[in-house]
Amino acid sequence: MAPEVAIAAVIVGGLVFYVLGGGADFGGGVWDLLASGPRRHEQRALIEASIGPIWEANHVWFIFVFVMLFSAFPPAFASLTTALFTPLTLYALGLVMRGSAFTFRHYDSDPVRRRRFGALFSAASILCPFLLGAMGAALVREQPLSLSLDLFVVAGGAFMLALVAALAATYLALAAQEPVLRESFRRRGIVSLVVAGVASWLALAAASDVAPQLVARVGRGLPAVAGTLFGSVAVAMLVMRRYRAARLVVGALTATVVIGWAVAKGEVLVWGEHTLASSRAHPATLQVLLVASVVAAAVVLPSLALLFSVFGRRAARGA
Amino acid sequence: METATLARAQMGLSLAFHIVFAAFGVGLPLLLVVAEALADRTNDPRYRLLAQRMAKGTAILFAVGAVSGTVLSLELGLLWPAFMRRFGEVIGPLFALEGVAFFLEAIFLGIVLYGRALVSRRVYRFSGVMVALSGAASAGFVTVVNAFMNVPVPVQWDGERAFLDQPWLVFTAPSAATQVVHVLLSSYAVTGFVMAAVHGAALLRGREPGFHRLALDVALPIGASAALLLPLSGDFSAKQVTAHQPWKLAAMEAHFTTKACAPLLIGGLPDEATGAVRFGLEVPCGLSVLGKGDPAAVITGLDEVPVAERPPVTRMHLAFQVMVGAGSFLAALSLFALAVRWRKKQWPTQRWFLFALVAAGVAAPLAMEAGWLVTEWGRQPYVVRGLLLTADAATRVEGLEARLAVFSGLYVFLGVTVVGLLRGLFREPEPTLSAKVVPHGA
Ligand code: HDD
Ligand code: HEM
Ligand code: HEM
Repeated sequence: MAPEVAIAAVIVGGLVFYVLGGGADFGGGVWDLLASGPRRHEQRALIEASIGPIWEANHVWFIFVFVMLFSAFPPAFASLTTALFTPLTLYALGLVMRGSAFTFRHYDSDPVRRRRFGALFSAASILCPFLLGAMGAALVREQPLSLSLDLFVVAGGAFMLALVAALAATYLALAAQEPVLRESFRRRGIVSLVVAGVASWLALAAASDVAPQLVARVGRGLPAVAGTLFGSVAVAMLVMRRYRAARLVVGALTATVVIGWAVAKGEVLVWGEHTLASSRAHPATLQVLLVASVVAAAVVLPSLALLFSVFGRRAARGA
Repeated sequence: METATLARAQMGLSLAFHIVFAAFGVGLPLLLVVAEALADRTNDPRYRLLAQRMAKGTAILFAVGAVSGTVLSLELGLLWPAFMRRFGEVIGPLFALEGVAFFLEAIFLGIVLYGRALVSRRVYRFSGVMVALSGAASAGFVTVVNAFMNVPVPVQWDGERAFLDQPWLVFTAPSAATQVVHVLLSSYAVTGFVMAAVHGAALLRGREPGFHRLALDVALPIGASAALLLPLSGDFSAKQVTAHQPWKLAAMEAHFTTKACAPLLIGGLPDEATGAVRFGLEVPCGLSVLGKGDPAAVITGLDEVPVAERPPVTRMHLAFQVMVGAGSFLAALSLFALAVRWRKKQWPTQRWFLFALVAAGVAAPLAMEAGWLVTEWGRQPYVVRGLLLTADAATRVEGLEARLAVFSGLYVFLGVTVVGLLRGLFREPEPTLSAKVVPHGA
């Protein structure tokens, strides 16, 4: 494998983890907003307890992806930050609001301020995944990079929003001990998966205009088939109340989406400007980054496993 | 305003904001580890209570540190695309290493803040130590980036893009070692003295002395040792600056003409146009000693620096005075406190000392901000000294005014909220347990 392809694979791997972890945290913010019914306080408490210890670690995946991108493909990174200046600035604002409002709410005892921080937390948790999906869509359009909103980009944003909501709902359904609470997240999971399906179908329909080559390459190919399959199986698992399986399948769906997106992009990093090969860093730099990734994986992944096992145990005990 | 000027204002604002939280991110985990260790050793429940309160504060400060740092990562690309295009490869691996440190920090912090009841004492202690170590490491890596920008190591060029065929050579940037040591020490000094100031203020208001004196046992040994070492480390920094960045030394000392036995200027208002200094006090040959350790040494003045390459003199001189002034105050106070503690086995009890602690809690962060301004202004007009001008590195995107306004408002909001929340935590009364425990060390 060419070193730039290997690094690109590492970056995509980081992105998968980001969407799985950080995405689910955003999804938690969505359900925090939509908490309803007599159990809404319990819903919020469960969301808060499951995000609290892990959101910072999940968030670091974003920094990791960003840093790897600018180290390994500096010119493409420079074009990207210039073309996507406004959405990235909004994304930064969203990240700040999400993280700080979540923490502030946890440590504030005044009910009015708690409600305001909660609203901020939720608003940012909706903004960020939408922007992420929209930027992802903009990056595969076969036209000069910008965030001009067309159906494809909007559908991409909506899809990502629904996907992270589904991720969070299936995690929470599994973590919830109490049947009523569990049931509410089960229903939410099904609804958001259906919405994600509709959004992906819309995006695919719009894609033939803005990304004809992409449609030719992968639109009817393996990623689309696998995505549809995983999506349907996930709904079926939730309908059958197989929570553990549902979580696994939604995870697989997420990985398929991110990897499929990367495969669709192929060699092109910024359309009409940069490919992997044309914008890659010097081989010595790429080598160091690869070695650093291996070392990082050896140190970070076991630590992450420890973190999740500690708090997973708590969820299992129903704290 | 010009786009480049706005970009500089934005970057400076974001960094000045982040650096405060970053310093706590380095220092607080260490203080937490110390408090936990004291709790284990003395079995005094008040240390445990202190550690629990500190953990809450740490959670708040870390969250804001993490998000403000993320803004900075994005801003490097958003505001300085040409810098990233040309030097991204050189500094990228350092940020990648910093990313590894961030992971460890965030992971083990999760365990420290939320996992107390879920893990064994050994895992808990290990996690605390990991947070402290990875916080220091992340500060170290990012400071090496800054050291490279100040005094770049020789790079190779691939078209307009710089690279190192041995990427780890970036660690050999001449000012890396002195800067990393000085930055880490300053983080410990800031954290230690801000914490001491908070508890000193509580003592002044007559709150539970048993508890708040105990807190000084955690804060002051670290803060005061760091403050004693800082002038020493600052002296190494000054010698390094003299050797590799003569323009920076000349500007921060308002040293206009090259000469032997150059005087050290204390105070004074330099006039950049005429090279005159009003109201200053000169220590004969002081600058030659500070810069090269030899009263007869020749110190390069601004006259040997082309006008277009001179950093701003008045601002830098002022900032340097603030740092050294605050540093001398902290060092003197620390010497006194440690001497009393050593002879009488307790920290000084005089009211003026408590007032001085409160002042030190302001002086320490002030010194750190001022020091950064010296470093950053002293590199101007370059982003990477000698290789890339700041003006050429800046984005061409228009309309940064709105962005600057939004982020200024955001930082004010975050700052005010954090202070409010921390005060709220602090107002919680010390529970009854202080009543049944005998005062410590008395
Ligand atoms: C609590 C904070 C603090 C205190 C008390 C001091 N400093 Fe400092 N100083 C910093 C915090 C700092 C810093 C962390 O803000 C800087 C910015 C960049 C760096 O390496 O450390 C710095 C930079 C810095 C530089 C520029 C280094 C460079 O650009 O490479 C010099 C020459 C000094 N300092 C010298 C001193 C001296 C002689 C001090 C004697 C009292 C002193 N500092 C106290
Ligand atoms: C260690 C990591 C740091 C990095 C990588 C860094 C990077 C940069 C960059 C790229 C710029 C814009 C170009 C320039 O003006 O030179 C800048 C400017 C600036 N930075 Fe830093 N910086 C660091 C630390 C800090 C800190 C901690 C402060 C805190 C006060 C700070 C204060 C400033 C200011 C005030 C400016 C604007 C200077 C001016 O143009 O007048 N920097 N920095
Ligand atoms: C001297 C200057 C700096 C020091 C000492 C420093 C140190 C730290 C530390 C210790 C943290 C851990 C979190 C916390 O303490 O709250 C942190 C967070 C962070 N910093 Fe800085 N930093 C500096 C400048 C920068 C610069 C210039 C950037 C990027 C351009 C940056 C990017 C980040 C990021 C992305 C995080 C978040 C990591 C997380 O999610 O845990 N920092 N910084």
